[in-house]
Amino acid sequence: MGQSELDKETFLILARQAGFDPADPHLDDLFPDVQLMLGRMDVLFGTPTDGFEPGYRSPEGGA
Amino acid sequence: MADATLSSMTVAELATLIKAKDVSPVDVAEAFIERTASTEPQLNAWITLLPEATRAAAKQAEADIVAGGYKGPLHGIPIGLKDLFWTKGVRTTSGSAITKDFVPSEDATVVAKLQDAGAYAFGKTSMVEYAYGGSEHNDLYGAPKNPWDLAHVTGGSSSGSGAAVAAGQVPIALGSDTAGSVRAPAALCGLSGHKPTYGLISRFGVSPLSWSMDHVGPLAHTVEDVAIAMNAMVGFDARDPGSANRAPEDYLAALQADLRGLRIGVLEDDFIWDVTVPEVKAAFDQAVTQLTTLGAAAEGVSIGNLDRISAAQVTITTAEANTYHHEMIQRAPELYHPVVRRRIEAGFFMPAAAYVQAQRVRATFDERYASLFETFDLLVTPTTPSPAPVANGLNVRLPNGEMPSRELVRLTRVFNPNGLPAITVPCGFSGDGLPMGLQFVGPRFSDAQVIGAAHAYQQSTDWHKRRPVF
Repeated sequence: MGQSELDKETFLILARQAGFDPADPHLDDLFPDVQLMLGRMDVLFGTPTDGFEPGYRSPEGGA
Repeated sequence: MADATLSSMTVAELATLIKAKDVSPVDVAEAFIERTASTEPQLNAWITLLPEATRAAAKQAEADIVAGGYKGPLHGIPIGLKDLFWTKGVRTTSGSAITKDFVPSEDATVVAKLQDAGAYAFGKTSMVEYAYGGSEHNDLYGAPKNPWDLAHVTGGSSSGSGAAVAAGQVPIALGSDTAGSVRAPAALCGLSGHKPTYGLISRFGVSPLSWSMDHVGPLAHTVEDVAIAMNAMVGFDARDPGSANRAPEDYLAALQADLRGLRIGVLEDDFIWDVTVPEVKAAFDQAVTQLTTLGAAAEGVSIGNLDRISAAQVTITTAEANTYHHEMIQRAPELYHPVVRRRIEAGFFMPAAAYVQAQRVRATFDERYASLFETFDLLVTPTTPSPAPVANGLNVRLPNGEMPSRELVRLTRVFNPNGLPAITVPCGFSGDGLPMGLQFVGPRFSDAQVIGAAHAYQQSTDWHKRRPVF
């Protein structure tokens, strides 16, 4: 299953865990934004990153 | 009545007059105060104006200069500050209802440095709430209008800074750039705007959007003015964890450079051209031809997979913005703009692994860019995919349809995660009389070269001399 495939039911479970009221109609507006965000994860996890560690290099270019 | 011609001048032109004592800083201040009074009701570029402080600062500058204490080209120059730069004793709203009454107890480092150079704050410019957006409206303070056509957007998030300089309300303004928020409004308003290398200009006292990608930069009529500001703004600051401790450079001296022998990579990636409108492509092609006429060697090149670094930029911003706003948005979500609220809240649903993977993708592009800059001194792209469009909700209208307003920073955001210096200069006008921008990008800490090349190009054009009839 792709990272972006989040159904509404799972979203509402996650929303409750994050402190939202699952009955709040605002979640209907938020759901598409979350789907859009998760859709980007497919691009990120599809990028070959073997040998690359996370972390931004310092401005001086060091570790 | 103030001298109206002063408000259309560049910083360098004003500085020449002030230094020679042909014009007093008081005359300069009155010209910009008058210009702002007559245009602001239509433009809405400011959240806070400081006319009394402006007059006091101008009077002090006049006295200092008469006494022989001329400090340099920023002495007696009014500056617009995006309303996320802390200003001691002056409210700093970040464009939000939540921080509408925040009055800092000290100045941002960059504000203090500009004041040390003799400049002073004219006011606080309007912005997209918490700098989180490319062009959306600000419901609380109102969205600035583009002086070239009031029906069109300015671009954001430094929207008021772009509008104010373009309209001649101030000769120069500061913005912040996490995805293109200096370069996009500069390009769409016909200005020069520079995002310096990450770490060159202190972020202390600048309300954050994304700590690891926020950059402070100037918007002005010319690259020369950008260089003047850079000379005052750059410098190590121990209070900014990302600050770079490097020997100072003279960015005005960099203006002596020419383009002969410079190797310029002309980006051919589909990511750049997929949504770019034909008028921008035509202006860009003409600009590249001009660069070669001036002696540069231009060659097509693809970075490749720009969708990956774009996704990394958005992911990192979402995570870092959510972290910064974590407590505030849970306490008072209704006080946020609905669009900004959803962007921040989306971060509650992001797996930690996504943020970590975005950092790894960022690292792959460190390597990719470094490799490219072994072959090329600079890269060039259009700055925005279209001239300033008309907003339609969260979209903007283009000749061939609509696109999300966030795409206005599509061509700029791909250089933020890796902290590369990038400048925009005007490179033409659309058939509707709207400006278009050319973006130069260089390796880290090549700001002098980027500025020098942009200046050399600008000197061969007159796009930057146009002013909106407004």
